[in-house]
Parts: sequence; structure tokens; C-alpha cells
Amino acid sequence: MSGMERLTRQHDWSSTALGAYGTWPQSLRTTVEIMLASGHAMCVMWGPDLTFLYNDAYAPFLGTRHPAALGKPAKVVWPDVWNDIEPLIERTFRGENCTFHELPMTMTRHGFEEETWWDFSYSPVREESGDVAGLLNVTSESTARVLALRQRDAAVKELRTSEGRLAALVEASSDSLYSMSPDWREMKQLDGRGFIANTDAPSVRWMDTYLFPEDRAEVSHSIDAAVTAAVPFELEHRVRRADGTVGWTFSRAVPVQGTDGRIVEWFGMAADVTARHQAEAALRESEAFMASVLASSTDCIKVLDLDGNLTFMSEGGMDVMEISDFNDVKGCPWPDFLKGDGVALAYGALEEARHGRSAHFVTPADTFAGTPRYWSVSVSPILGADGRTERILSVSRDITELEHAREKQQLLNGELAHRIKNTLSVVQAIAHQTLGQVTDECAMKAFGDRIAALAASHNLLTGQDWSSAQLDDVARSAVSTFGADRFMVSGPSIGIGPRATLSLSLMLHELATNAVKYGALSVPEGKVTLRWTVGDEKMDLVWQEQGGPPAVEPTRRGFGSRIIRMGLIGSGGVNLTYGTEGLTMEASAPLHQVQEA
Amino acid sequence: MGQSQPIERLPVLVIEDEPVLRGEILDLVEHAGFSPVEATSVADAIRILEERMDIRIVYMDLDMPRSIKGIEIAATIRDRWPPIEIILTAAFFEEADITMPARAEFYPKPIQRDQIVAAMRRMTTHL
Repeated sequence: MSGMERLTRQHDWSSTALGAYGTWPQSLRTTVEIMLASGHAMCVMWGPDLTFLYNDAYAPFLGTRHPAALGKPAKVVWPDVWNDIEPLIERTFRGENCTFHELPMTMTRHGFEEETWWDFSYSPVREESGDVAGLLNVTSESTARVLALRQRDAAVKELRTSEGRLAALVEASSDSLYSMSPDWREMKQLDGRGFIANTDAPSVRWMDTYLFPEDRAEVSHSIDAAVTAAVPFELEHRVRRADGTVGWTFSRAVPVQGTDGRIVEWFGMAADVTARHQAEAALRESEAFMASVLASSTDCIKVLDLDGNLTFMSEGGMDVMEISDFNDVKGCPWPDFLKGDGVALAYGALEEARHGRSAHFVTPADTFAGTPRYWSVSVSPILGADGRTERILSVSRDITELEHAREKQQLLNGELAHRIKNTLSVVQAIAHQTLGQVTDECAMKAFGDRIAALAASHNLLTGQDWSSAQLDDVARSAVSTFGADRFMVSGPSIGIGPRATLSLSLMLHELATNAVKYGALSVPEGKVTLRWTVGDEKMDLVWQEQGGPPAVEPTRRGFGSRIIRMGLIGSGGVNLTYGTEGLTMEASAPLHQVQEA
Repeated sequence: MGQSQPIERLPVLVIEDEPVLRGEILDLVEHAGFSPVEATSVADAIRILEERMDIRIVYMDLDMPRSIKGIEIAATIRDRWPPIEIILTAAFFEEADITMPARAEFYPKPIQRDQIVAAMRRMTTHL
């Protein structure tokens, strides 16, 4: 027998408005029996006093009022809530069914206090006469539901907070936001943030707005892949910007799933990466440009470490050096590729480069395949941020053709000089053969000597590619056949042009010839001083005879005399002094004319 | 017989392939009182030298034999016929450019006639 069943049977009901148990109407007995037998918490209020009866399950509701509450009027049992429940009780006694939900109760059911929630249902119980004699209160616990609801509410609140944060985050970002239909055919909305145009109302023509025709296939392909696999969409692609120009966006969208797990929409953000993309494109272009410059140069462009070992060689450079695989030479000391003086010159240039200076030299070197070549080499430092030499740049240009041309030119110059002298020999021979019989010996000799002087001057010019000769060489050559020990030749080193070389050679020849005939060289002790000075703009040359007979101005001016008066450049500037010591000739001419080619 | 005979003219071998120059030098040799013997090529000259033992002076143009270095021919002559005096001329070379055979003399083109004549006369005193 349960606790409440025993208490109910033992209770002295005679002192209550219900009267002794034996006097209870059947309806009351039945109601009480049902109540006591039920596992649900129930209570009964019966009779004019609303006498209170309850079962074991209900006892916890009463707390300390149990077990004294049994048999007491309800008003006595529940004075604290009486005002709330009295109207309900009255309505129930009028025949209505009254319920109220989720009344909180603190209960100690499992050894600790806990909050519980309950639904109450007041049902009228009619006695045999048909009138309502009592009230049966059936309760059911709604704690689990209430807690679930509370959790949901808390979750909703949390979600709202979280959404608020997300919204703030989204607001703070400059990225464009968009939402798409599950199949992406329709754009629901897009907030362009000034980067791209807004879409305020759903549109199926969104591609027209944002994409260039040629990019659609690629974007569609990525979308299809994401939609099919239900994975986030991610693509960097071109986009039409709000101002109509081409931009680049990094677009990422995630699928949003409904309760049934199906995708209800896609939510995405599109970042403006135009600037980065343009910078990258510019960099790529610049790198490609530099690479193409390096590759298309026929110079052999090399980068060396500070010790002169090869670390890089341009594509074109590998071609001219006949290297098929750079690994064959990587790390090798570059100077060892050179020949002759080039090795020492290269080490010298590396030393210069390490000190931040450039150097240039010409050297022979074989290609990797062994082909002999000539190179014009420039070595310069590659400076680091601190201004110190970090690496060394060596650029070699193949000048083999030029070098061969130079050699050929030298050969040709020699050949030309030979032919000129040979031709002059023939001219001289023809003249002699033609005029020898009718001309006196002296005239023939003068002619031959002049031709010889002319030929000798050509000799001096070939050494410098016909462009110039050293005045010292010209002077010594001109007087050499007259006995070099009779002359004192002095003056600064200076190159003179071909015109001056010819006229000076002939002039000195005539002066020396005359000196031998009539002047200082006609006596054993006579000497000739030949000296010149070079100023900023003009040069002066002096022929001074000493120790000979007094000079006498010739009465007749012949060819030799005219040649002397033509001077250094064939146009005068000559002063002749016929002194007692001998002839003095002073000639001067503008320096640029003396030197012009 | 007591009457004087003309002094036998000394033969001088002229090796020159250029006709005008050869004519000129033959004329010069003759005027200087020598007996010119002409050779138009190196091979010609060698053959003459092998046949005529009386030649004591050779005048040679180094520019001539294009296939062989003229100076080597001159050296050969010096080696094979040591007594022969050698006078060399050239347009292509200067004296400083070549290794001269012993006792040989060099005159650059165009030659000065009096220098060649003086050289030949000087050489006859050695003979």
C-alpha cells in the first residue's frame, strides 16, 4: 500500500466536511480510488469546503505542507495562491474544464532541489445527482519542454547576437556581398560597395551586369562544379566594375542549407583584387620583358659571384658561347674561359668590380665547343642596397668579325702601301727610261729622290691606317738618307694628318737636299737642328743650319723652293732667314689643320 | 800583247719579274759598267746561278716570288753560293721587318739609282 493510500484510509474524515469515509458518496470514493492508484500527480478538492486529497505523486508539490494538507480545505492548503486558483476552481465547479500550463515548482525529488514546470488540468466531478461535487486536478510535468524552449530561446538570442556581430563584420568589410539562388541562375541581391554595381531586386541576368562575355564560360564552369558538389565556390575572375572598366575580384560563396539539408541559397563575398592583379600583371610583364631582353641579346650576359664564379648566363649568351646546358659551366671560374692576356685582365677587372668600379677589355677566348673568338668584355659591379658590390656583371660581345676585319684591313693597308711604292718605282723607272737620254743626270736624280721621299712618307702613314703619323718619325725618316748624325731632332710627341705628313716629308727632303748642296751639310762640321713646339692651337717647327757657309737667298725659285714655302700644310706660313751661320726656316700652322685627316 | 783590253765586265744577276723595273735595273747595271744577266723568276735565277759560276752580285726584288718568301730565297742563295754579294729591294717590307742574310744590303723601293750603283761598286772591291 502506498504512503498516501494508507494515510487516506487512516485519516479521521469524520472531523472534515466530507464526513466519515463510510458516508462518502460513490462518486467521491471512485474518484479518490482512481487518484490514489494513478502514477500521475493528482489531487481532489471535494465538497463545500473543497476538502483536499492527493496521491503520492502529488506530495512533492506540497513540500512541507505534506502530509498535514490531507483533509484540509483547499483554501487552507493554498493560501498563497488562492487568489489565482479560486476563479479557476469556481469555473470548474460550474462545469468547465480549466487548465493552466507550465507552473514552476521547486522540487526535491532526487535529493536536490530542482526547478520543475507543470501543466494542471482541473476537471469537474459530478456526483450522482449530476451536480458538480468536486474537482480532479491531473498534472503533467512540462519541465523538459520548458527547458527545451528555454534553450531554444537562449540559442535564438545567441544567434541574434552572433548575427549582429556578423552583420557588423560584413559592414566593416569593403567586400561586395551577394546571395544567389540554389542553382545560381538567379541573383537574389548584391551589395556592390562601390566596387561593382548593386543588384537590389532578384535578377536572372546578373551575368550581363557583372561578367564580360569571354569570361562567362570559365565562371559558369566553376559555379557548376561548386553547385554539383555542394562545396564552397571560389574563383578569381574578371568583373565589370561599377564604372564599366575591367576589374578583378576574388569571389567566394558558401551554400546555406535548409532544415531538410537542401541548399536554399548561396551567400558570398566578392573582394576587389584589381590593384593586386594589376600589380602582378605589371610585374609579370616587367619580368617577361626583362627575360626577353636578356634572351634576345646576342651579348653573353653573365652574373658572377664575388669570386668570379658563374651563377647565371643569358640564353643568347649560351648560344654565342655554344653552351647547351648551363649546368656544365655553373660555378666555374669565369676568367679561366679566356685566353692569353685575357685571364689576367679578367682577374684585374673582377678586383675593380669588387671595389665598385667597371672595367673593359678585349680578349680572345674559345667557345665551350672550342671555336676561337674575340670578345669585347665589360665587367661591372652589381651593388646591393648598402652600396657594396653584391655580385658582378660580365657582358661579352663577340667581336670576332670586327677583329678579322681589322686584321684584313691591316693586310690591305700593307698591300696598298706596297702597291703605292711599287707603282712609284715603276713611275720612276718609266721617267728614267723615257727622259734619261734627254735630261741631265742631276735632274733625274732630283726626280728620283723626290719620288723616294714621297714613298717613304706613305710608309709612315700605313702604320696608323692612313690617318696619321708621328711627327718624330716623319722628321727622322726624311733626313735619314742624309746622315742622321748631322741632325739634332727634338720635339714633343704629336700625331699629324696625312696631308701634313706628305708636305712635311717633301719639305724636309728639299731642305736637306739644299743643305747638302749649299748649306751646313756641304761642310763636314755643319749641323742641322730640327725642333718643334706644340701650343694649344698651333704648332711651330724650326729648321736651323749651323756651322756651314753663310746662307744666300737663291735668285731663282725652283720646284724645291716652292715646296719649302708651302710649309707644314701646303699653304704657307713659312719664314726663311738667310743668316751668316746658315739658313733658318720657321714654319707654323694651326694645330687642327696639321692634324686633320 | 801590250795593248789594253777592256776590263771584263762583271756579271750581275737581276731577279725582277716586273718588266718595267727589270728594264730599268738592267739599264742601271749596264750604265754602271757591269754585265746584266736577267732572271724573270726565282726558278730562272736558281738555274742561272747553277750554270754560271761567274756571277758575283745578285740584285733581287723580294716582292717578286709571291708563292715563296723572297727573303728565304735570298738566304738560300747566301747558303749555296757564299761568295755572291746580295742587294735586296722591296716595297712590301722594310729592312727592320726581315732577317737579312750576312753581307746583304737593302734599299727600299723606289730605289735611288746612285745608291744601288754605289753599292755594286763597293761590292766589287770585296771580290
